Formats: sequence, C-alpha cells, structure tokens
Amino acid sequence: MIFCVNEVELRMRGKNVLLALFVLLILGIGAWRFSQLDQQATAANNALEASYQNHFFSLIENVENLDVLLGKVLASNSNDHNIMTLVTVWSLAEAAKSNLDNLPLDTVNMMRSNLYLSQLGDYAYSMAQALVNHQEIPDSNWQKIKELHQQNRIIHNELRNLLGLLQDRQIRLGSLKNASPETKMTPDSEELLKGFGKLDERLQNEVPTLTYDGPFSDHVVNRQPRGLTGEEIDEKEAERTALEFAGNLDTNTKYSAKVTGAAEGRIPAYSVTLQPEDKAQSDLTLGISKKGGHVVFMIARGEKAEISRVSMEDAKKRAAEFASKLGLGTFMATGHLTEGNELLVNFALIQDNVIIYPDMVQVIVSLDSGNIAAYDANKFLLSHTQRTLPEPKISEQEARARVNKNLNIEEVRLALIPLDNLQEKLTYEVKGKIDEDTYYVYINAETGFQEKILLIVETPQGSRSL
Amino acid sequence: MKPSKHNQRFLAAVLIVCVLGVSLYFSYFSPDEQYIPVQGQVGEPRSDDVWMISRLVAAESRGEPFEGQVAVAAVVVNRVRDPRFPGTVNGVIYQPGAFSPVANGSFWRVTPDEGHLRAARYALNGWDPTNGATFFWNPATATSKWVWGRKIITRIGKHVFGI
Repeated sequence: MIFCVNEVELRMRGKNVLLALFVLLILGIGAWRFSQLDQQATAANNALEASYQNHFFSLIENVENLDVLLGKVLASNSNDHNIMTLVTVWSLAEAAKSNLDNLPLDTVNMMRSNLYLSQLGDYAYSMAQALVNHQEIPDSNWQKIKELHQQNRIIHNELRNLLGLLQDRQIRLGSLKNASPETKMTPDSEELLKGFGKLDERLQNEVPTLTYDGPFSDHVVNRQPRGLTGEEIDEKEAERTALEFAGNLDTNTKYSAKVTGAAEGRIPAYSVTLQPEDKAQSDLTLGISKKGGHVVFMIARGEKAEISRVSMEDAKKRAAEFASKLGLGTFMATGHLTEGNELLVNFALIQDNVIIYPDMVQVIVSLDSGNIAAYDANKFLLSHTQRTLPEPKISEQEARARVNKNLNIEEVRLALIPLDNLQEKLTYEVKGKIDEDTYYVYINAETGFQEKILLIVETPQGSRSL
Repeated sequence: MKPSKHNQRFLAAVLIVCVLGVSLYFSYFSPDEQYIPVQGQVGEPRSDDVWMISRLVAAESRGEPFEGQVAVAAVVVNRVRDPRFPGTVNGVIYQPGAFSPVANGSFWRVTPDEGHLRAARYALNGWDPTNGATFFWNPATATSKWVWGRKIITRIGKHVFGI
C-alpha cells in the first residue's frame, strides 16, 4: 500500500516536471520565432532605408552635376559641345527626378520640385534639338538657362543643408513616411520633412512659367480647349442632349436621363446617367460639356464581353456609321485595336481631302452585342477649330523624293499633324514598306523637312504606331 | 499500464498547451502577411501597363460603378502625363506612399476581373470621366492632410477627385 502511494506520487511528480519542460519548450520556440521575425523586420527596414539613402545621395550628386553642366552651357561657345551637354542635362534631370520620386515624401508637397526637374530636362532637350536643326537660338533662351541654373543652385544648397541635418541628428529617411496616429513622428524627422517642404516653396516663388517647344511646356500642360463653341447650357438641356445622343446608338431602347453630378477641370461637364427601359441593355454614363452641350464621352456600364458574336467587318461598319451620325463632320478610320472582345476604332476628321489628325474621336464596339460600348471626343474638343489649310509649297513628287530610298512607297496623302508643342503642320503622309515593316513618314509640305516617322507594329490585336 | 485519472489529465494539459503553442506560432507567422509581389496571369502580358493599372483599380475601387473604376485608372494615366509626377505607369504606382493598396499589400493580393482590365484599357486609350484629375481619395478614410488642400473637381461613387 505504502509502496503504491509512493509510486503514484512519484509518477505525478515526474509528470509535473515533464509538463513544466513542455511549457518551457513551447515558450522557447515562441521566443526564438519572435526574435527571428524581429531580425527579419530589422533587415527589411534597413534594406528600405539603404534604398532611400541611395536615392537621396544620388539626387544630391545629380543636382551637383547639373550645376556644373548648366554652367558649362553658359560658358561654352561651341554648338557641338552644347548639344552634348544639353542632352546630358536632360538625362541627369530625369535621373534626379526619379531619385526624388523614390523618397518617402508623400506627406509633403514636392510637386514644384518635380515640375522643375521635368521642365529643366525637357527644356534642355528642346534646345539641343534646335541646335541640331541649326536654328538660331534667341538670347532669351540663354537667359532662361541662366535662370534654371540659379534655381538649380537653390535646390543644391537646400539639399546640402538637409543632408547636414540628416547626418548630425542621425535621422532615418524611413521615419518620414506617412505616420499613422500610433507612430508619431519624432521632432527631428518633422524638421527634416519641413526642410523638404521649404525647398519646394522656395522654387514656387522663384520659377517663372516656361514656354518652349516641348511636351512639358507650360502652354501645353495648361492648354485650353478650342472646340468648346456655343452657349452655357443647364441640366435640362444636358439631359436632352444625352437622350438625343442615345438615339444614334440604334439600340431601339428608350432611356430616362438624369444629371448625377458634374466635373470641373479642363472641359467642365455635367455627368448624365441614362437608364434603359429594357433592363437587358446597360446603363450609359455621359459627360456633356457645360459650354455648348458637346458630348465629351460615353461609357456603357455593363457591356459584358464574353463571346464574339459580331464579325470584325460588321463591327467596323457599325463604328463608321455611328461616327457619321455624330454631326461633327466627315471622319476616316485611321486605326483599330481589338482588346478584351471589344473593337476600338480611331477616327480623324477629313477637311478638303486632308486628314486632320489632331481632331480625333474614338469609338468602341462590343464584339459580343454589337453595341457601341464607349465613345470619346476629348481630343476633338481640345483641338478642333475652323482651320484655313495652307496650300502645300512642294509637290507630291518632291515629297516622294525626300523619303529614304529603301522605302517602297504604297500611298501618299496630305495630313495635318500635331507636334509636341501643339503646333500643327501640313505634311505629306508617305506610307511605305521596308521588307515586312510598315512606316509612316511625314514630310513637311512647306519646307520638305521630315517632321516625324512612325513604325507600325502589327499585333494580333491590331496595329500600333510607335 | 492502465490509463488512470492522472494520465488523462496529463494528456488534456498537453493538448491545451499544444493548441495554445500552435496558435501562438501562427499568430506570428500569418501566411496572409507574407505576400509575394508577383504578377498574375489572366492572359495579359506580365509587365503590361493594363495589368498594372487594373490591379490598382481592383484594389482601390471595390464596389464602385464602372465609370468610377475608369476614373481611378485615369488618375494614374493623368499622372504619367503630368510633369509633376513620375513619367511611367510603374513609377506612378510604386511612388512611395502614393497609393494605399501598395502600402498595405492588397495590391498584390487582388485578382483583377474583366471589368477592371476593361477600365484600365479605357483610361489608357484616353477615356477620363474625371476630366484631368491627378488625385483621388476616399473622404471617409483619407489620412494625408495636404491632399485636402487640392482643388476638388468631381465626385464619383465614394471617391473625391482633385487636381
């Protein structure tokens, strides 16, 4: 009996020890796992910090080099040297902008600095291009370079100050990230962040508007629509216009219209929603411009694209019929693309047998239902105006002689094309082939210069011009 | 050896500790947080802009009407063309702190459907219901203070669009 009790006690004690060991083991595994995860997090944080610092130091280096290059442009008297230097300015400015964009500065407005770097590169590039074309550079352009140089100095100095702050106080750039209420920013990181904000504000006060021949020129970025003719309309008229537009869709459906909102911006417009009586049809959303009541865009909400029931030819015909009913003029299909069981057709305006490429509308046809799934006239409304086209100064024969001899010319026609700076040029569009590749070459109808060259890439989806 | 009362208690204790231990282990090692930023495969080219934008649309505009999805996609396209933002779709989407789905990881978890892809294509082809917006935010959840200083140009669904 005694022996028995002892045995039970012993066994219990042994089990208690085992239990304790087991608990310890579990806690040990937990602690080990925790420290491992902590190490991983630290390593990831450090890698991120290294990447931020890499971009920060590269930014300073690039801005420093820009300072030197802009100085050289101002001091040099050789056009050839300046072309090289200006193209390098362009690439360094792009690199600096990419560095800036990779810093965690989402809580502070750095848009002016970004704009400065974009325009600096763009401006240098357009000047290099003018030098390549042996154009006379007016003194005012060199003056602009001088101003850009001074602004670059400001950025450079401010960045140096920020670098000093970063190093003195040992601030991690990662601490500048959008802080949640739980993780408050330290006073040091707040000071650094304010420094970046101050840099941007200084530029805001210093940088004048820049108008030149590049895509980021202020006059291009802030372009005003030319095609918005007519009087201001009210919501009732917007609804009426939308219903009229829906009549051209040939869906044999009655719609009820309702203005659901408005959008300001470049083309101020009412948003109109059209609800079909026939529930099998989809809701339509339209933008109707407040000035003149032009249809800016149309989107069918529920066009599902599952199987192709409509042939490509029929869909193209459908799009062309629709474009002819818009009442905007005669259009010609200039390209098409099939994506996700929908056919997109680009139409350009035809005036006096000349293709007006700036005045484009786009139509999307569903290959499932054959319905018009979407329409867009943004480009048309931005650029359309009554134009008096100039007479070409060179003949078609002369234009043919201007293109590369290896090009097998298939077709030549007159076309008005838009340049990066929004200027429009009358050109001969020469379509031709070299081996299997199709090219479009645009020869200025006045000067005979080659304005543009496009390579057409045929994909299963359609042709894309590059 | 016959199973005794003590034996059963011991087993129960071991079982409870095991369950606790395993749940503790998995609470630290949640597979959900280990997302791998790989691109998916819905028949679209992997690094294609359409695919990239459609994922942002899928993550940002759950339950939004179709024109609201086009609007979100159009903001990305408008930024690419704006000199104040990075000049590529990748650059715009991965800019630190620019879009919350990239920060919280939902960007890598979503699978865009045909509608999201369609919205992305429309925006890349020029459709823009926002009329040029370069910002959008959800008034209910927006965290950035300075975004409220932007000029609001339209509202679509639960998003506010601004320049």
